[in-house]
Amino acid sequence: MDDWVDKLTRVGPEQDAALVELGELLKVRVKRAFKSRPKADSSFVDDVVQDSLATILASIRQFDGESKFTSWATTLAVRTALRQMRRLNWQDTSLDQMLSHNPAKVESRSPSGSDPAAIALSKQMVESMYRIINYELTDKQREVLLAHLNGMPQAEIGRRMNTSRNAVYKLGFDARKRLRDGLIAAGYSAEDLEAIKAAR
Amino acid sequence: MKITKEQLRALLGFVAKTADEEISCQTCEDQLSRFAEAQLTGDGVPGALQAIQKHLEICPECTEELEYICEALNDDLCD
Repeated sequence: MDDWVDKLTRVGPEQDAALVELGELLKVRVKRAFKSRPKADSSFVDDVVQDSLATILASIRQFDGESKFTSWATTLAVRTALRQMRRLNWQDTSLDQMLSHNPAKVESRSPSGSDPAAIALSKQMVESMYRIINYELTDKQREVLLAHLNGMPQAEIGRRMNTSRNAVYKLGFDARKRLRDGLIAAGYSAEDLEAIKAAR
Repeated sequence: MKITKEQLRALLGFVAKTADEEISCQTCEDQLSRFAEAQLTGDGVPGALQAIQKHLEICPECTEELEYICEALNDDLCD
């Protein structure tokens, strides 16, 4: 086990010194990772590192030694930064606004391509998919699926639905499984899906 | 609402890759630092982390997180 854990769990000057050292390392790494993101200025990085150090201290017993301690700590810092950025990026978007106030109706689109047989197969399969989305998913499954397709992060979907990120993941997973099983029941294989995906 | 062509393609991909059992983002997150180290050191993905690899194929958020982690660790991993 890394001796970082030992130093960080001792109350006193040794812990203070370890926190300073770890904070400096995380600043360098977070800056490097997010250098292409204009919002990741020094103030953002400082805030992220402070929040991350608090998280690291609070969850240090969860470090299992399977990676370097500094890799684990960096992972927590990157996650903190990403969550803050995602929250900032989506703060002005509501689910209703994103789903055009009508998540229960997804409109069909015409397939493109030149092979008539492939177009027919693709059209039938996509129509089956729309039918499942519109009529076989629960309202919550549909909302999660469509918000996800629009790029909204799960934590942000969860915030708007007053539920956890894990619960959002489960809703999305159940929606995908329902779609997959519905399409298989309609006679399509996973290979058909991949082929149609490639052709569209 | 309309689903764009790109969204439809992404959805088809996600549905095609949906397994009966998948790990959650939480479980993936718990292993990402180990996974990133394996990628960066060129050791390849150990068998125990194959479920992470599968999860990354259907989860853009965890994939994005892994990319940033690798960028953050890239120059220092061998220190």
